[in-house]
Amino acid sequence: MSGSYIPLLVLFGVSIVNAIGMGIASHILNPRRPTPVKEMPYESGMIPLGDTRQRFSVKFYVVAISFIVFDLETVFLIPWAVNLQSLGWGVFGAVSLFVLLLALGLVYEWRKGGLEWE
Amino acid sequence: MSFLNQWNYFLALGPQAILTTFAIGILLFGVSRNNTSDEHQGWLLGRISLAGVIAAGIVNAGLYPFADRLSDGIVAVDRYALFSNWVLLLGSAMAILISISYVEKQRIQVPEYFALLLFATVGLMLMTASLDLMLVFIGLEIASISVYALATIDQRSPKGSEAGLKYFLLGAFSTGIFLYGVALIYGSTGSANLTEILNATVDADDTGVMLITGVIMLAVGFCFKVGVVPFHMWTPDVYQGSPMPITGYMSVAIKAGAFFTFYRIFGIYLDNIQFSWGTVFWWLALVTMIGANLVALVQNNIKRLLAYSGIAHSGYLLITVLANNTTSESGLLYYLAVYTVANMGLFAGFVLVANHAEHRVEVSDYAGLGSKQPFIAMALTVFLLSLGGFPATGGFIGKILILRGALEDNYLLLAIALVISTLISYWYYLRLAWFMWMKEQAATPNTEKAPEIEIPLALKLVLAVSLVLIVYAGIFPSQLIGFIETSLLKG
Repeated sequence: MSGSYIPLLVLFGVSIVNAIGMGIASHILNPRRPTPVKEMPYESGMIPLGDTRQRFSVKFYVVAISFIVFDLETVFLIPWAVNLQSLGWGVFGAVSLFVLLLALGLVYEWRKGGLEWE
Repeated sequence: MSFLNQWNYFLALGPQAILTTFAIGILLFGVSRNNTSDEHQGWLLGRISLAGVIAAGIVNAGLYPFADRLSDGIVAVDRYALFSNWVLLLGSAMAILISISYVEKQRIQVPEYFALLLFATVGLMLMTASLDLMLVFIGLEIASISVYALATIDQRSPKGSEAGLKYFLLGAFSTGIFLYGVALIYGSTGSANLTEILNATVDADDTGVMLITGVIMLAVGFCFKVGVVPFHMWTPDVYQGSPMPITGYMSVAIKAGAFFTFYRIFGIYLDNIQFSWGTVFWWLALVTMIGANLVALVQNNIKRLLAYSGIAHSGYLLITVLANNTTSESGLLYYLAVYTVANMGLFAGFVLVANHAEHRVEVSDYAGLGSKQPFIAMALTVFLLSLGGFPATGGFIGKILILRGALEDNYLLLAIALVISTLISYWYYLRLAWFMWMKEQAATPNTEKAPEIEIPLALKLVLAVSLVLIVYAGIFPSQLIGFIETSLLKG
């Protein structure tokens, strides 16, 4: 059974050798003519000012979670809607329950102030 | 009755559905009013969530006529699952009772607190009843995520944040390993359904490396959750930093739920390939029992002490998964029931001594408790003795059952290690009792004077009920054992 994975392993090995080889080859072969501009962290663009580790607001995180929740709702609803005729009322009840639970979650988030930006 | 009628799925999930309804109701109640700083919210919502647990218990009792008849779905309604529901509901009811005064005093966000507690119980009940590895994963995650949030629910406590973050990172890591294990098992057997995995592993000769790797990763994921020795590092820190009732809940419900599931998966459905995980478990059990008990000897913080004690109990319980006969299965169920009651009782006492806060958690703070609060000290002593496995307490019968189960399958060395580590554990259990009864409180002027302890009704109830149950289970074990023997998976 594990024999069928040997081609995969070979591919894996080849890609590792390829990646490392290219890195080493370019290191050996490339011409080096350093100038002050080239030695800057970003060769083209602005000179970085200040620390990169800036704090950013976690408000995005609440929005992201809400997005994922309703995104997944779509993933469940569209296949159900496509097969609505054949699935019957039992599944309709189950899907309604699912949407109801999500709606209750939305009510909670709304009342808790999760949708307000400031 | 079968699952052809899909409404029966809802029946199978009755207790979980009731608890979910109550939890959502509590959440919405919390945002429905403007005066959220109500003084008695803890009291009110605590009662509502307790009512939810009792309602779930009633539905659970009502499911007994259907037990073993609703069997073709991925949610098992067998007597084993119903028994584990009892233990989990008992643990969460006690956690709720302990929390009521605590949340009021600590000004914790009450609705979220109780709702998350109920959601965690729902997840654990789902996990113990599931016959499909994906459902196990979902239940485990519902429970874990709720408890991550509960660990850090006191936002002003830096230690709580540390505990929550550590628990979350390590828990997420272990979940990843668990899920990878599930994926490998799915890849090699073609199904995540436990019954089909059982059928696929009947012929043990052509077991591939992939399946064994998957099984071991699954075991590692579980061992993280219950804190078995090489994977226990998070336990003391998380137990120490979490709010005290939550520490109690974690030490009891998460452990019980994980072990019920552990046994269902490994003891029953992966039994055919025991050669692949048996040796691993043998060593894990040995190292856990000896190591955790030795480290517990030098702990002075009671929450860390209980963390290492809980790890040691995980080691004892691993023997039952390994020995895997009817005696050891009864031992597992008996032990978990008794451990739940004794540990929750202990935490009730701790919460009282700490005066519903997080101070006075050193062993030396318990000096002189016996003369000032004889009832609490007596109850705590009985619970400690039960955890140690002293005769005439429930823990003794549980340990005897585990030992008998281990000897029936010739795990002599593990049985000897269990006895030795139990003897070691007496030192730290009795040290706490010795402080309570034999030592006077040091009369240094700069230590704050211990406040008078008032016992709220809810905690009185927890202490009294646990005390009665522990002593009853220790002196008249036959009734509980008889009930457990009808709840076994290996019937």
